[in-house]
Amino acid sequence: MPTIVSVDDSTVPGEGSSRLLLLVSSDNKHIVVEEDIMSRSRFISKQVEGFEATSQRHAILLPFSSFVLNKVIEYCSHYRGYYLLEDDPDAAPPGRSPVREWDQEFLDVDRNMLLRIIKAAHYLEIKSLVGSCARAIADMIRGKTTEEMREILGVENDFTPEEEHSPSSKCTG
Amino acid sequence: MSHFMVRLVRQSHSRAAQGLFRCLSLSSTSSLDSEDIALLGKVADHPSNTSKTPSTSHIFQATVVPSFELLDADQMGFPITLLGFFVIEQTKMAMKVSSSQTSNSSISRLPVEILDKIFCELQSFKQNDEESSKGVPRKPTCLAVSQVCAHWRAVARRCHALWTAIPLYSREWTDVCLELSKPYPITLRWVDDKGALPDEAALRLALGELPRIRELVLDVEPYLPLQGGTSFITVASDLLAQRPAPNLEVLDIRLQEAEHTLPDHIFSGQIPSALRTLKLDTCMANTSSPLFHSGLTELVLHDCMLWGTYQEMQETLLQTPQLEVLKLSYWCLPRTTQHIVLTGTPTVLSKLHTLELYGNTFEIALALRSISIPQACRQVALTYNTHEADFLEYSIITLPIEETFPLAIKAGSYFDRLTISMVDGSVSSVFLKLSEPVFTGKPNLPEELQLSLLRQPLGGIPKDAIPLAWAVLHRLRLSMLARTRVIETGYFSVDWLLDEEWWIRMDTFGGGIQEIVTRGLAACGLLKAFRRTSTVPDEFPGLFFPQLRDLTIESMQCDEEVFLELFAEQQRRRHAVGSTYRVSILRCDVTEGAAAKLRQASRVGFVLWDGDCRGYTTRDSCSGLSICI
Repeated sequence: MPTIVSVDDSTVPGEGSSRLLLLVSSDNKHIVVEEDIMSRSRFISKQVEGFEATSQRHAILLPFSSFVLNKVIEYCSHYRGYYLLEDDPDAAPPGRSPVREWDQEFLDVDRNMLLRIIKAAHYLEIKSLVGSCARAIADMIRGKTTEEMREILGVENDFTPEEEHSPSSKCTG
Repeated sequence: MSHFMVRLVRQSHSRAAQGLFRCLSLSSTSSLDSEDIALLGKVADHPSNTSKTPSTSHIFQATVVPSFELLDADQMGFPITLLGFFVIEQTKMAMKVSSSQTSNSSISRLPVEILDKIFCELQSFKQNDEESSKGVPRKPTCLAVSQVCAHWRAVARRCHALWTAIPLYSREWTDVCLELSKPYPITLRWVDDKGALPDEAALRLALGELPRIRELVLDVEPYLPLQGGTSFITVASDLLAQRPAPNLEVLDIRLQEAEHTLPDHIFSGQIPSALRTLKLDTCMANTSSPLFHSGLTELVLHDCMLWGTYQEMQETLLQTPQLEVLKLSYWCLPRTTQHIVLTGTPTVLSKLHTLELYGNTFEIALALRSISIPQACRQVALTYNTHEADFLEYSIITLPIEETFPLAIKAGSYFDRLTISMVDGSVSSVFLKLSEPVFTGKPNLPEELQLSLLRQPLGGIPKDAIPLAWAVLHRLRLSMLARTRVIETGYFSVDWLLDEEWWIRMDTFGGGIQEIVTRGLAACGLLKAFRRTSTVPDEFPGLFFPQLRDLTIESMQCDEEVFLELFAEQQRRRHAVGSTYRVSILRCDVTEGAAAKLRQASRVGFVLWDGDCRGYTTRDSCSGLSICI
């Protein structure tokens, strides 16, 4: 859970009716963002609901760097006001994530960055972003051999030779 | 009071996000004094804050957000003091920082939920495509994933969706996937890529799970031998008849090169109530089979002799009132039905939003009469010239163009766009038909009637037919290859524009094999008149049509002289050519002088340049030319 620090407050004005949130990244960068933008995050929304109960304003400390956080905010900003099925808690989750052109361009980053973004999105409970990242990662490894998958994603083979070369009928362990 | 820099940050690289995302970045080069703190507000008595009061020197560290454009505080109009509502407990923040570092190689330790999501995304659409390389079966992705590491294996085993695309190369693999995908519905796709052969035992095993199959796609040469030697279709047909398919949503069977009929009692004769999409290509089915039921929303038939009579077609459509997409290609009603009198009320397909018809004009006309089409339905029709010699494979279509074209035109009146592709010179007949009073009086035609001539070399179009045709059509495009040599035949051509060695494609210019055209003209009693004209007249009534929209010249060498002549002519006729707005010149060599003339040609609305530039012509000389009247 993030660290939450409360302060007395009546209102925090912003443009329109959207209030401001302070997000603090793991590298100690403070980013103020409109609550409305981050409403796609179930995690943030839940935090905000808690704030309202105490009539206090809070900062939310997040366990990832400002670089990653900025990417997530960029994503949320892009889809601000858009309805995405995956983020609808009342909708049945789609089996596969829809292909969104903007997302593909947005996620055209290196492997490590992609992994950080999906972790951040998972932490923040932004299902649409998790899905898009997952699709991007899946595209990287689809059709590849086991060895190629390990190489692409930097996964260490921790099988014993017996486990690894088990007959195909036992190939899944 | 310390000096604060408060900046409004906007993303500069995301247009959609501009104006939406506002982010404040705080900066302080010195510690806050008491006055600052007072202005910022006091720390609340939250349990997490009572133990330690944050050191102000840590509260507002310099925070220049990377990759963002920073603007001055003045532009944002926010009271600086309000930022004090956000106070951070530095010590706990540091703790979180230390615990949240992401390792570069942490993929194998991704949370289970994330890994599970990635695996779900790995469901393949064409698994045998990616799992076959140069005819050698490759281990299915699902199996490859499960062998990466222990963590992946554990997650993969629990991710049922990962295993739902059933491979057919090996019984062992099929067995594993069928087992681990339970109880989920499965997908069975085989797209014959002339690579490795499917395994008969695997196919039998997979189709034995017919009740679990949600999507069945078979794109094969029907007599493709399996590894066991039996033909694919024999095994598949047999198995499809043995069990019901209550979960089947998509059935797509494409049989290459040979026809095959699905068993009458497919799915044990039980209606696949979940079936929504039915696509059959060169694959017959009895229209009384359970495949055609009221739940279907998409019906795509290609080259299927499904119906023996017009009435049968109508009966089938009556069984499928929920259709939203209907695509029929060469469904080939027998000739014996060509002269039937169509009676009865058209079938109402109130949800239809896409109708595509490809076939001869007779089929199209019948289909249109069979269906009551909603106003907003997108309609496309493509029909061909019907000379038997042109399409031997469709020998059932033998109506001559003189008979079918009126039908096509009538059919066209139902459509927004109608494409008729002709393969010989019967274009003359087309134009002559168009000039008949029945058409000239009431041009109830599609907005765009596109006639494409597919065969070259071609000659010209009878001069009298062209203006008459244009008087009828709203829009006409003829695409063809023509050689200017035919100018001597007395038909319209463009030799004043082109050297006889140049091949061109010009929209609105016609042609045809001389002999066929001549024959057609003779049949129409116009040959004599044409023979009197041995040279091209000064005026070309067919060249500058009053409603000409597009003129395309392709793959020709144009020197300056040619273009001078072209545009002199254009300018001469400028007052008569009100609606010409675009001229496309593709893959042509154009001199700089000619390009300059192009720019000056007031009659030309738009010039496109597409192709290699050779010799003295540079791309720049023509690229993006936009010559507006």
